[in-house]
Amino acid sequence: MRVITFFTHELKSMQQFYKITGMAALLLLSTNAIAQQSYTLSGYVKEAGSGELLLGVSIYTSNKSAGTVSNNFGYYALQLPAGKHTVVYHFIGYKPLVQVVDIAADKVLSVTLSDAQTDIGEVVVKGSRTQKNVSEDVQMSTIEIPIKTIKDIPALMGEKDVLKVLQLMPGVQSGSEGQSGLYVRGGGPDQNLIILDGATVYNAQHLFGFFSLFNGDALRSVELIKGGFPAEYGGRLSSVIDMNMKDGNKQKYTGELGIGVISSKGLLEGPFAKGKGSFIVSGRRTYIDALAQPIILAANNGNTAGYFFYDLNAKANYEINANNRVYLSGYFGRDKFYANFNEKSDNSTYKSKTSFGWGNATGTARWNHIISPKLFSNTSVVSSFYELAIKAEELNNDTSQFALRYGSGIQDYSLKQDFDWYANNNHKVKYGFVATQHTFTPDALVLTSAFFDERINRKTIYKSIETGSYIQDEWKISQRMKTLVGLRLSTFTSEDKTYVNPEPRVAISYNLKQDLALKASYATMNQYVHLLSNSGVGLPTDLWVPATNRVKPQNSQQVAAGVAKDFEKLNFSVTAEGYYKTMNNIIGYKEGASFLAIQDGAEGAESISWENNITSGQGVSYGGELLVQRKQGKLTGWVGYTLSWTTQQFDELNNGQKFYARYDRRHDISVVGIYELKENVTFSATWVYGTGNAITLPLSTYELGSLSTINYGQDFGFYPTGTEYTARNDFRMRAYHRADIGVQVSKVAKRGVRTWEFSAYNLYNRKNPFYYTIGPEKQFDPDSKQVLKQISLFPILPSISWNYTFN
Amino acid sequence: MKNFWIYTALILSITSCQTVLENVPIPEIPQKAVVFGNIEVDGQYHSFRITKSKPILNASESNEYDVIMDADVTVSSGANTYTFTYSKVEELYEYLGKLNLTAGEAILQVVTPTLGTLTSTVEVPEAIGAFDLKVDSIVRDYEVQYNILFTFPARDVPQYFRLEGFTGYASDTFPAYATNEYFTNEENLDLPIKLKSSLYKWKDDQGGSADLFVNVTRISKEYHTYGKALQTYNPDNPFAEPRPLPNNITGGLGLFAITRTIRVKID
Repeated sequence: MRVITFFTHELKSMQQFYKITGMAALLLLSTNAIAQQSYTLSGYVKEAGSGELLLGVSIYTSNKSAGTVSNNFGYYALQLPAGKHTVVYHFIGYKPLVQVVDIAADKVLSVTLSDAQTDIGEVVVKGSRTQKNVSEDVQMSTIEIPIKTIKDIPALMGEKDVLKVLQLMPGVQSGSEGQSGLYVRGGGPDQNLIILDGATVYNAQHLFGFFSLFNGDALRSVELIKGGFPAEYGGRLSSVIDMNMKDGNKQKYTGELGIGVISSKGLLEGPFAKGKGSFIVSGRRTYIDALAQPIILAANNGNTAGYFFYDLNAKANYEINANNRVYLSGYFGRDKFYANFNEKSDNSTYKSKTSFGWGNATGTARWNHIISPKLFSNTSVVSSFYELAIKAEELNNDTSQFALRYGSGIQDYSLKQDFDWYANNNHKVKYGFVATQHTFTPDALVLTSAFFDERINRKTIYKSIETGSYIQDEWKISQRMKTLVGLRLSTFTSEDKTYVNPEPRVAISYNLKQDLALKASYATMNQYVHLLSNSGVGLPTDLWVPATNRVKPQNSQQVAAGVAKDFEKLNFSVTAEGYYKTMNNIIGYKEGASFLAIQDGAEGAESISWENNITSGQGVSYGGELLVQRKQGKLTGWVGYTLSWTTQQFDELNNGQKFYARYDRRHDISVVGIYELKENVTFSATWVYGTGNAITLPLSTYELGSLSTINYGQDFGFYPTGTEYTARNDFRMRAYHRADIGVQVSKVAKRGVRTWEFSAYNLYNRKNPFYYTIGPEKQFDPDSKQVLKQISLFPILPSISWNYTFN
Repeated sequence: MKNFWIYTALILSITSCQTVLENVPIPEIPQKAVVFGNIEVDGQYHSFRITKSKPILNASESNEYDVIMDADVTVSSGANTYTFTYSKVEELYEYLGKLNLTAGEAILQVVTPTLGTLTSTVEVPEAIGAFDLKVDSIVRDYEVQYNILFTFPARDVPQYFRLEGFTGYASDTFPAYATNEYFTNEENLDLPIKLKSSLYKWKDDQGGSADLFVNVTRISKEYHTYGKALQTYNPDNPFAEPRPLPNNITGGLGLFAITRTIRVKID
């Protein structure tokens, strides 16, 4: 009932919001609307062969008097005056399509573009299918990664990883060795909004962060936004990673099989309902547990232990008619550690079972509806679950002696409505709303013990509702100047507190020349969910919790400015950007608090809520980023450089003094090269360098004298000891650098293409720091002096994988 | 031959995860003098313990700390200066007798031959003042739980208190289960400060014939911060955030406190 009341209230607020913004928009647009009589050319752009819808395709008249870009669902609409027009459909990596169109009324024209590689032989452009010219786009601080590039770049143990490729971009940093968490412009991994087909993914990592959930096979597009956020996005401070799954081949059945060092994977896609619908299913599973099981069983007298993770992606779409399409997509993945122990004697048995698992599940149902040629609607119902579960049980003679079930997680249900309104060729308006019900379970424990005759059943649940209403206009002010102006109104209700925050967004670009643009942007963001983590690496034990009466939402403001230049003849683009970002109400554990004791600890009393264990502060991040990228040709790749500073200040940490964030990184360099030696042989190499992480180091110990009025033992010469530390994060770990190489060799077989990939991670065997610890210089020598030790994780790691694509 | 390389690469891939330990050079860490001491305004005996800190790195692990025996230790308040003398037996710097501390600040100065001069300035706390005490008890089979509530009226400035419970016969005192708590009204200056706690005592027939007392101590803000920090200090937990302990000694480490305490018997 409370939810219904809330939605009613929200809808009223939204009506007001739309009324005001709508009136402003109409006023703005009326000048163009009355200028001339025009008609709408609209339709979908598809890929020849697969029928996949293509997003980001440039559509313009040959005299460039009018132009637009296909939206996230491949739909476009262009306003043209009556008469004959030559319309060009252009997308890098595809053969340009030229259509002569005679317009006398609104017209629907869906087109297909052919892969350029199939038509122009030796000219290799396949690595760049989804990239626009950087000087054309009004949006800045945005990176699109072609899926082919993700598959070409060498990876740890051969496991292709979307998030690790994003780490190679300027402004995006990795955490520790091998981790897939992203630190974007001074923000933590919790400040990234990771979306898969519109569903938020809360923990995007497998195996404690060494691999991400996304292997790329089932993905159609990956886009990272670091600043100048469009108003349609909200809920996180630092970045948006928007991923869309492929729709599936509408023409024929195709598939892929892959066998790697630690996992195998498969993909199947094809049409149904006479080409009106298509589906795609892909899956991946590790098999170290299965391979090692015989050895473990033999070595442990029949006791077992192991680890595995798996992913499953599935999507189906169906075209009801020209104006209606529906989509159903989902992701399901899980990690699990387990250990089972059995012991038998003559008259008794003892068994213990322990498991530690976590996983995500998302589901999206979408309905695309063309209300009119100018108005495109996308309605989504989305669910997203994340769950951590720890189970342990001991049985004597098949009778339970001890059982523990601990869980934490988050469940989201969202309703999302987006409209694309192609008002005219100078105004592309997008508006909509999203409402999400979050259910947070930071802590659920069921414990039974026969020995202590005890039963604990504890569960903490927070329910909250988050909404976002937005409107934005991509406004072509003149031939040279474009702007993206938007406003998002976000609300969050948790317990009896409601937060309401307007979030203005603006991006502007001015073309000095056709291929040279100056850009600037401003964005306010609010984040109403917090991740409690003192590992900083994205462990599954990190807890999502809501903003509450006491814990305020995080807030950021970011300004950025830069220049973008395309060198089309040389196939190069260069972007240089500077940014300044302030973050308020960011949270951190209090000194001495630990995630192992989330319900007690820092306050030293029983039943202390997590709210008592955390403290809030501010952060500032600023710096410059340079990206030199070659998108086409035999040699593609990029060089990225980031110079940045990130500081934080909390009243309750570091004596209130400002300190560097753990992942403050002065210099971050990445070099990526992909070279197509022959049509069937591709070499790739990467090199990364990053300033060492900032850590707090213990310096000395000292005796704590007594201040007590009571004798606690000091009369007997007993004094506890204290530790003196450096200022918070005042010591730098050693710099990180590493080179990886890979080679892919393909061969056309009878029914498809088989590809072998050989790669080496950490080619020159650099001992990079994973963490530091203090210990004796000589083990087992009590007089040995204590030294600081670096723990490194991965030496040179060769890997091999085999893929078969059949068609 | 082709298979050999494939198998070799596979085996290397699976087995090559390893841990590498490597010593890391760090800069020299200076040793510091450490001072701990508390002056009870109405007390007749006062002491300081002064030791040397020990660098963790490039030294062997041990819990023994060198005591500084040749420092000059004075406490000044208004026109009065008191000199503390070193006791080899107690390994403390001591002063016998009451210190005449005037309202305002008192200054501790410690001059060491090798580790420099240390100073600390602390406000002399006001008198405990009037308060209201409520006690109720819950009698169980084997113990009595006393719920105590001290209420002190609001003042213009923040107030800080420590409560310590103990059982005792005459001068022999033992910490009681479980009160050792710190209180402040920093966030609600206008409201009376309430010191609420529970103490437990074995029933007399269970061997709990000793009396139950509470020491109510008016402390400084620095002492309050230090005491709270100490409650969550757990350097052995590798997952806990580092917990630097507060320090009010310029030129060194430690804490200098001045307190006013009253002892209340709980019946």
